[in-house]
Amino acid sequence: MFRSKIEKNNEGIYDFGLNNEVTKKVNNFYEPLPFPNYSKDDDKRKILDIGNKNYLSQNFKKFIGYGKTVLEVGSGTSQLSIYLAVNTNNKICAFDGTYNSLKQGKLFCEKENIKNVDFVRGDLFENLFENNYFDYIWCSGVLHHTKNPKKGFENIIRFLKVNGYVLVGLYNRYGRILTVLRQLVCKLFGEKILFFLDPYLRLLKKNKEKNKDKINSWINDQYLHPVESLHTIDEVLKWFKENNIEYYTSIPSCDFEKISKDDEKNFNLQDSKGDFFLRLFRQIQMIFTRLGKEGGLFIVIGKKL
Amino acid sequence: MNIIGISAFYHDSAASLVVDGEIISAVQEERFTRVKNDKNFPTNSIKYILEENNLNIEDIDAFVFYEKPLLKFERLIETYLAFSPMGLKSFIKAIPLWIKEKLYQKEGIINEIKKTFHKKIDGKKIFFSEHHLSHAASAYYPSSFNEAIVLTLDGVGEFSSTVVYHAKDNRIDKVKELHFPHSLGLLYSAFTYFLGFQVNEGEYKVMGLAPYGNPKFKDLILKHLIDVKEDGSYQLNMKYFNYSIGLTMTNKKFQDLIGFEKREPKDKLLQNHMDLAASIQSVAEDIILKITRNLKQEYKINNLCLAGGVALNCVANGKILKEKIFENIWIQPAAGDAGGSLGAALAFYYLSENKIKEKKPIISFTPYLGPKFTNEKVKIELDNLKANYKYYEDEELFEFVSKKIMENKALGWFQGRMEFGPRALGARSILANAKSLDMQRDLNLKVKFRESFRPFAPAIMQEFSHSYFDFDENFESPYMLLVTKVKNNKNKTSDFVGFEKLKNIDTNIPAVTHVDYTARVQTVSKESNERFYSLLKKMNSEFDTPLVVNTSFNVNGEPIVCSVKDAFSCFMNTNLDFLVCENYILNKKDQFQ
Repeated sequence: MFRSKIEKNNEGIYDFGLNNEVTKKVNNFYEPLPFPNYSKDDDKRKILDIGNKNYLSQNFKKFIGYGKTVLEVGSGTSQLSIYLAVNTNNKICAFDGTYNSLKQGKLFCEKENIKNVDFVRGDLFENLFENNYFDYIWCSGVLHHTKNPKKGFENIIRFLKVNGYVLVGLYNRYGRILTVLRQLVCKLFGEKILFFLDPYLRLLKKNKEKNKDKINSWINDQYLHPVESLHTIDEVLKWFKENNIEYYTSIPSCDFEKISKDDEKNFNLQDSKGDFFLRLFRQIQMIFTRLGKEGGLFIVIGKKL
Repeated sequence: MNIIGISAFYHDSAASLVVDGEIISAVQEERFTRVKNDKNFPTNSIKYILEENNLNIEDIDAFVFYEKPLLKFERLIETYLAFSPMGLKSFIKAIPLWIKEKLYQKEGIINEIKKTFHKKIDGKKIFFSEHHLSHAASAYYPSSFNEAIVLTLDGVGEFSSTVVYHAKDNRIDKVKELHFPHSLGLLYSAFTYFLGFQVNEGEYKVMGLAPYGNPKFKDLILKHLIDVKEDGSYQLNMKYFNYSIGLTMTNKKFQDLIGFEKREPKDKLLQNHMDLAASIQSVAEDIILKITRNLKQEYKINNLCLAGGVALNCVANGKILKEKIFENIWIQPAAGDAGGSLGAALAFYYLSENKIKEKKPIISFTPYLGPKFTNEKVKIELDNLKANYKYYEDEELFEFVSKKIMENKALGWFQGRMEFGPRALGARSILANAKSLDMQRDLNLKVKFRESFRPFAPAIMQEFSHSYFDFDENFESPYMLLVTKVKNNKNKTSDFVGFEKLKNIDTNIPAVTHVDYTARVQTVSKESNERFYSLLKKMNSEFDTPLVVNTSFNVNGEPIVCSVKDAFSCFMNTNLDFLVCENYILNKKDQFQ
């Protein structure tokens, strides 16, 4: 799997360390509060239930099938990696820069006897993995927190096999407008005002004590992150073109026939990427949909040619 | 003559191929799309049928749809007019769909075929059967009877809900019928709905729940909800039902009459729910028995064929058998709407002028009409899935599997052509030890992920069935459609109520004995399923146990597995210990290495 030989450390993690300053800065931001964390009574079944309730993770797992190698870039505590691993014979690689988060995932796997997840700590800008190794790469919510998202994408795409699929999730330039405005208001008036302005925090506030960790993580992630950039579907399409990746599907969908069916996304069928105006319209529309309310993240999936 | 029968657009869409009167293939669309009870046009099923039989779409002489949409539309309009202005909301919702899709079904079928096969078929090749005739044909032609009474009991077809046919020498003549909205099927579905189960899917859960309760609502049902005559004909009191005009099955008056609220799917099942299930089951059995007794008396014909969704009520079927009303009974295993596709094709072939009045040929019927995977194909599929497996020759395979079953391991059994119809009959089955005390609970909760009260059925070597169950010697029940008493039970009476009754089962085959000491039996002979029979034979010779638990190879809410990939996925996502795909055995423990 790796370009150079490395052994697991005594905590069962492949640790390549971090050399880049921006990566270290992001790592320091996440290290004190790994999220989502595991509670004592969490087990395999619970991880499955959470994953199965999320249409994106559920359908992506079905899309992967069995006997595949999967890299999750920016896995954090690796709940998604574990979800993709449970009840499959896939080999999942949970890759993140934050050691403490990976450790939580590793401990959970040991407790639940899950053997098909490897935990790797390193920098996504480094050339750590073999070229053409993974069948699937999931990289959502990560690149927009790096110094150079395009370069990061170009680096990880090398690890993808020909005919393999990559899922990229990024903050959208239009879909995240409300969050960006709230960031400004937060800077002026402080964090408390977010409990009135942010729909997700309003929801979490109802059970403030129970959701304490979630609230802190959400505020940190959405409003206080030291590195953040915004992108568009067309920008990702350009990255795809330059790296010989064929557009496969996206959320929001830009296929005119399927625009009303984002929540029923079936990854077994390739979509049309629509034209520039439809893509622009769909991204502006995000402001008013669930996607915008949840931070304005858009997803594009491509196939390596 | 190549005929494809089609059922679609309501629920359980399916396609069947009949060639010169012989049944060649039949399969439900849900098995390919993995959408339970899929109602969409059976594109994948037709594709499979053509590929399997090396046919092109142009080779098909007739496409026969299982019902007449125009007649159904007429019934819809008549019903709305009769109840107007009530039902306006439902009318507004239904009409655009009818106008858009269902009224122009001929064009719809042509377009669907064109979309998939890129060929426009001649409209003259498309025919429409009648709903109940399709059911009747699916039961009469595959039976071994030249003359029979055919009883079809269903929710509703075009107009009818219950129809009696007299069939002889290939002719099927309608002799009696009951019309919508008076329907035993819909009455049962109304209770299914009220008990919080899904209509057209949860009826068998109501049947399974019934033995936990007492029929204390039976009198109430008979007094207020249904008027049953001596000949079994009946009339519902529509004051209590909403299905004619609304989007629900029952109304507020129904709830007030029963005396407790409609159960929601996530609510706990209480004793009242069990009593209500027992009551409607008892009413249904009484009606079916009255109808069949009357038919025997009136027509004095010894053979009975059953089809339609209500014919899947194997408890009622078992009572007809036990009372020996008819000498012979044959029930179509795909008794629901999926089987309508088969009946439509058979009706078209045999009811064409030149076949009527000929003596009916004996069609050798098998329910194993779906896709098959050879050992070579299985190996390729397993390699693609990166599965760890081992090849066994037949004899060592039967030995290994029977040993594992007796060690209380649960295994997926994937062999030969897939079954047509809702029952797994040893081609796509989960097998386990019938003698294990904990197996019923373990299989429900850890493998099937379903309600713990649900019973499991046994599959037994034909020649031993009368030793374990209350069947005559040589009696065959190959399609698991008859419930009978378990022999040698202690039949302990106790004060246990509801689900506590599970603790009271005292037989030597507790995993397949329901709380009322009955079982839904599949008898297996060498002729009906040779491989499955060989396994049971090995179990008998090695462990003196000629039977196993046989339940469908799926988890709650999913269709039965069809392909090797489906089987592997189900195996990986459940606590099944082994998967047996043809001659390859997979051990769960080896899969994560």
